[in-house]
Amino acid sequence: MLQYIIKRLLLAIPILLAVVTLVFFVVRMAPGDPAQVILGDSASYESLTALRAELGLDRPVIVQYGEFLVSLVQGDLGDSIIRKQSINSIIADVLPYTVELTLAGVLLGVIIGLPLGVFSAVYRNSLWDYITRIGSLIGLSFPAFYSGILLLLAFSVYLGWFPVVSDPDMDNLGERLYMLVLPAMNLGLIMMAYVVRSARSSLLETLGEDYIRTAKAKGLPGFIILYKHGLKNALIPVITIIGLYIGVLVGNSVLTEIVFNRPGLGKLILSALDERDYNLLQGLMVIYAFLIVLVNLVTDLTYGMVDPRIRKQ
Amino acid sequence: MITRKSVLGCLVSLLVLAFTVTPGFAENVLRIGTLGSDAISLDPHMSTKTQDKIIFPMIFNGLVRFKPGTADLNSIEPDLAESWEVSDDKLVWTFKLRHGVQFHDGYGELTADDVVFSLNKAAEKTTSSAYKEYSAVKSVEAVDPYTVKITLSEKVPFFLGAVINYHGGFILSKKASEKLGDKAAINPVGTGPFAFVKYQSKRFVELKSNDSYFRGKPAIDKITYRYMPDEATRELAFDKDEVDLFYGRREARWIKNQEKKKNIVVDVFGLGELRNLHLNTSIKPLDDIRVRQAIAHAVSREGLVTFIGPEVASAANSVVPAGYLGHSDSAMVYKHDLTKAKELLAQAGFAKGLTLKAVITKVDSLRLPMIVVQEQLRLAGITLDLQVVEHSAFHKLIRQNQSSLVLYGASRFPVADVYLTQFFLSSSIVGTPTGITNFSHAKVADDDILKAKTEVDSKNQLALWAAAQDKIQKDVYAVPLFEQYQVWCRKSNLDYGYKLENSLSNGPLITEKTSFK
Repeated sequence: MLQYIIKRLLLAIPILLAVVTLVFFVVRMAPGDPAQVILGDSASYESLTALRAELGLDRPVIVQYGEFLVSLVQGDLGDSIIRKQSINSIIADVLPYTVELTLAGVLLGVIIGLPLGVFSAVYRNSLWDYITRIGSLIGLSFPAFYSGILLLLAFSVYLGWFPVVSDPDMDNLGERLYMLVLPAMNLGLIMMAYVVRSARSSLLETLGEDYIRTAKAKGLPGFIILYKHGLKNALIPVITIIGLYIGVLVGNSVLTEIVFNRPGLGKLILSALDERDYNLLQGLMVIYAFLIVLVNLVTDLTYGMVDPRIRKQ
Repeated sequence: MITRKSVLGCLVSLLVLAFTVTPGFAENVLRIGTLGSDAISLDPHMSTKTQDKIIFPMIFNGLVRFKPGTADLNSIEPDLAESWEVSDDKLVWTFKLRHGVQFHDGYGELTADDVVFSLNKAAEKTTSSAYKEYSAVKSVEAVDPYTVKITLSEKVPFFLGAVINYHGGFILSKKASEKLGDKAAINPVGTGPFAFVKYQSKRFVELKSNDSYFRGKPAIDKITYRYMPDEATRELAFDKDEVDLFYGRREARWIKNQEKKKNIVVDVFGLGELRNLHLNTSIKPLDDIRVRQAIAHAVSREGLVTFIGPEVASAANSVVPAGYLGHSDSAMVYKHDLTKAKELLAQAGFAKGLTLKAVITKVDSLRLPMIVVQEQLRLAGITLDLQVVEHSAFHKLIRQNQSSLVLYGASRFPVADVYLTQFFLSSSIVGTPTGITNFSHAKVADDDILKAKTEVDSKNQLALWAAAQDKIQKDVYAVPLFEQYQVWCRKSNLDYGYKLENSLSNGPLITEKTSFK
């Protein structure tokens, strides 16, 4: 197993390299200038040129790329061009917020989505099935910023249960959990919609298999058939969907963080892009790519836990 | 097993939690929701971003200041300097400092050394984005601990502007800057009514009352200055009583909706950002004055004001904003006249119309008026091929001379010289080594602008600035469109402690007198 994990992590290196290389060159090709952001719109061409030289942005791009790779290998993502702070520390400050939001979103999505999907499959074509399917379709269709504002209007402004600004103090666990509820719900609704649909279709397929009919013929109780023979076999596609859509959730977390005014990688990436903070943007891409690789690895390992056939392979 | 009791218990604990952790209820805590997702820099000499400019006057002072709520150059009053004198040739300025002014965090009493350090820093290219404003400063000397002498190499249009509570004029602690080094940019130490406590990147800046402030202890104990990039969230947070003051939308309909709410005061104030349409004469056929005149006749500034709302905008009559020292009301303004516009186009050989290419930012405050201009030009037979780009890309492209028309909005230090120099002096033409924002490649008013810089007689100076505006507008290097004001909303019990009419920082000034009634 350890060998497998190491092999997968080593395989991630070329992926990371490809992503950061692409980002490195693409952001520099886009018009925009970090020196302009720092000096403001009344800065002269002369002072902009001087600042670009001071920041090292006037050197050949390939030299800058080489330096970036050397620092990356040493585990140093460099300093932010705009704020002159270490990128490692900037990211470390907000990473916990994004991780807890994404995990809470996934958890909520699975906890609510899986039973609903099962329910919908078992009672297929019933009124509740239609309601669940329409509900999940709405969940898929809502942009995260829109559903976020609706949640804020309902639960913060009208009911007054939660704050609008979900920016907790990291040292206060109670406050963190409390302020996580609405943003997690926003992400969870999207995840739930994916889980409901994949669980329903996968379970419907499984429930039509011969071994289910055999189990029924043996007189096994419905719950055992559903859980032991149906759900366990239907889980693999669901896990794939969850793993795949964690990436989508990370994307949606950008909008969620902005609407709920929550710190996080998403908010950071937007401002880095807006300010043309090349270094910070590269650093963030490394982290994002690494997170996606990690999620895929965890997904693959989970297959083995659910299905012994895969474990043996 | 999940029982009804346990579900009820969970709900009750959640509600208790809701009441206990909702932030900010102390009456003397001011919670501000500002625009932007983060600070660019907390060094007042470096950043010119609105979200940073608003916070600087809370932490720092200048040698002189605008009376709070005004940006009137005639109402400048002492700040850290208690008095000043100027030589007859206006080249030597001597400032007497107040005694006993203390820097925050125990960095000691303000002395002439701090002023010398700050002004030298403001004049240095590597430590200040305002350094050009200090190019005429020959020396800054500490005559004694409470006297500073500034010698200029030539007369400047309004020198007090260089030592006012704005941009390079803010006075920093020399001791703190030397001790903190690079970290001083995120640990500002000043003498203002509020002292810096902490900065949380992407989240907020926290300030506390400076109890030994020389104008008296502030009525507000603490300020949370929160970065809230989403406009809807700022509004909802205000409705939910999580924010007391926030940056609003500069749109009439939005303001009307806010005013329907209880417990809210909407402040609409200057300085307005002037929107000029710059015509790039280096791109054909805009080198032909008849085409430029046709554009000036085709554009309806009244139509634009109606679109934005007269509550937040007013028609402009000069390429220098109203209220600036040197603004002229008598500069030539072309009236909206589509027939005249078509005639001029026909004379220039474009009877069948013409197409111009322009870039515009996706930021609504510029993009939407540009779409209105596009429609107004279409009625005169001019097709405007608009390329909507990201804001950073817009700034880059217009400085690379890539747009035939540039709609640009700005507010500057309120002296005509600043605007005329940056936008219409030939040395500021974009793409040149000294280029700033002369998008139109105007040269026509160089003599007047340059002469006005060193003119000792203020009447002559005003006449030169007026002549410059007239020439620029007559030859249509730019069409003045409208001025758009700032919009902020506050709780009705929040009293600034002064009447807010203008602010140089684009936000309300929070002073020692600001309080909750």
